[in-house]
Amino acid sequence: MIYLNYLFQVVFLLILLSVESTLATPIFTLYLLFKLLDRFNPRDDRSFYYLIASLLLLSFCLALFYQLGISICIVLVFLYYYLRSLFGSKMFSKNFQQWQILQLSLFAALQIAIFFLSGLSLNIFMLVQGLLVLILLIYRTIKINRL
Amino acid sequence: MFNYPKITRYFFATVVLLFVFLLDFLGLLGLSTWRSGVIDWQAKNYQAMQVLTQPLAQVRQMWQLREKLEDLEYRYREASVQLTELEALREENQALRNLLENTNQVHQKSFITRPISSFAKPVLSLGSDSDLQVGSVVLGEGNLLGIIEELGKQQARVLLLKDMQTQGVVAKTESGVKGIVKGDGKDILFTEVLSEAELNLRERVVTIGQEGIGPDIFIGRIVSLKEQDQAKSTQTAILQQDVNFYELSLVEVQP
Repeated sequence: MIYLNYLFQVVFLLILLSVESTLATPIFTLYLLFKLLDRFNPRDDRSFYYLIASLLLLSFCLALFYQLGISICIVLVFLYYYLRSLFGSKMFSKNFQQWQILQLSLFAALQIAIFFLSGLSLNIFMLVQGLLVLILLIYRTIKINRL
Repeated sequence: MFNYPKITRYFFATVVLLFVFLLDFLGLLGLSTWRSGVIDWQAKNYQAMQVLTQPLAQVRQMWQLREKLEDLEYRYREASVQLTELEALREENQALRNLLENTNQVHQKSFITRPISSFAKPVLSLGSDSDLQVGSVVLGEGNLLGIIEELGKQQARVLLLKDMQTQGVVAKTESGVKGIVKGDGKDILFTEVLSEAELNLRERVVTIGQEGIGPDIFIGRIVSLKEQDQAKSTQTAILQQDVNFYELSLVEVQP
C-alpha cells in the first residue's frame, strides 16, 4: 500500500513538473520531491540505493523538461542534495532559524541556476508562482512560530 | 577504523554517476525522442493554460477596449469641433467664390494635364476625346501660356504666346494702356501700343477679353521697351512671363 502511495505521489509530481516547466521554474515540484526524499534517509544500503536512483530519475526529468544536459542536472541535483544534508546534519544546525535561512538560500540558488541554464524569461505565471510561495512561507512562519 | 559499508556505498554511487557522465559524454543519452515528446506535452499544457486564463485575458482586453473607447470619444468630440470649423470655412469659401464669379472671374470647367515636350514642340496629353477645342486657353499657375493650335484624339499641340506671329491676344497694362500680345518666335511682344501711351517697366499685362479668352488673365510683365520707329505711330514692349511651359509639371486648359 505504501508503494502505491509513493507511485501516486511520483505521478502527481511528474504532472506538476510538466505544468511548471511549461512556464516557470520547478519550485513546488522540487520542494515536494525533496520532502518526499527525506523519507529515504540512508540508514541502510537499500534506502541509499533508492535515494541515488530517485536523484538520478529527478535529474533525468529536469533535463528532459527544461531541455538541459543530463550531466549538468546530475551535478546540480546531487550537489544541492549533498549541501542540504551537510547543512542539515552537523555544522550549521545550531539554531532552527539559521537552518531555515540556509535551506531557503540553497533552494533559491538551485532555482536561479535552473532559471538561467534553461533560458527562461520572466512572465506573469512566474509572478503568480512567486506570490504563492510567499503566501506559503508566511503561512509556515505563522504556523511554526505559533503566532 | 574504516566504515567499509559507507565507503562501498559512496564508491558505488560514484561509479554509477561516472558511468552516466560517460554515456552523456559519448552522446548515448541524447533522448531526442523523449525531448520532442516533452515539448509536445508542454505545448498542450500551454494551450490548456491559455484556455484557463482566457477569462483574465478577456478582462484585460475589455479594459483595453474601454481605454480605446475613451480615446475614440475624445477624438470624436475633437473632430466635431473641427467639422464645425470646416463648415464655417466652407460657407466662407463659397461666399468668396460667389463674390469672385459675380465680379470678373467665371468659375468654369477646366482640365488639368501634364505638358509634354516633344522635339521642343509644346504638347498636352489631352485631346478631342476630352472635349478640348482648337483655341482653348492654356494656363500655367494662372498665367496665360498659349492656346490650343492642333487637336488630336489624345494629344493637343499648344501655340505658345512667343510663337503667335499671325494672331494675337488683346491685352492691357495695369495703367490701362491697350495693345496686342504677339510673338516673334523668340520673345513675347506687347505691340500696337499707341506711341503717346506711357509704358512702365515691371508693369503687369493682362487680357482684356476676346472670343475664347476671358478677361483679366495675367500674361506677363514688361521687361524692356523696343526702340521706337519714328515712322510708325505705335510702340512695342517685350514681356516676360513668371512661368515657363517647359518647366511646369501641370497646366490647366479651359475649353
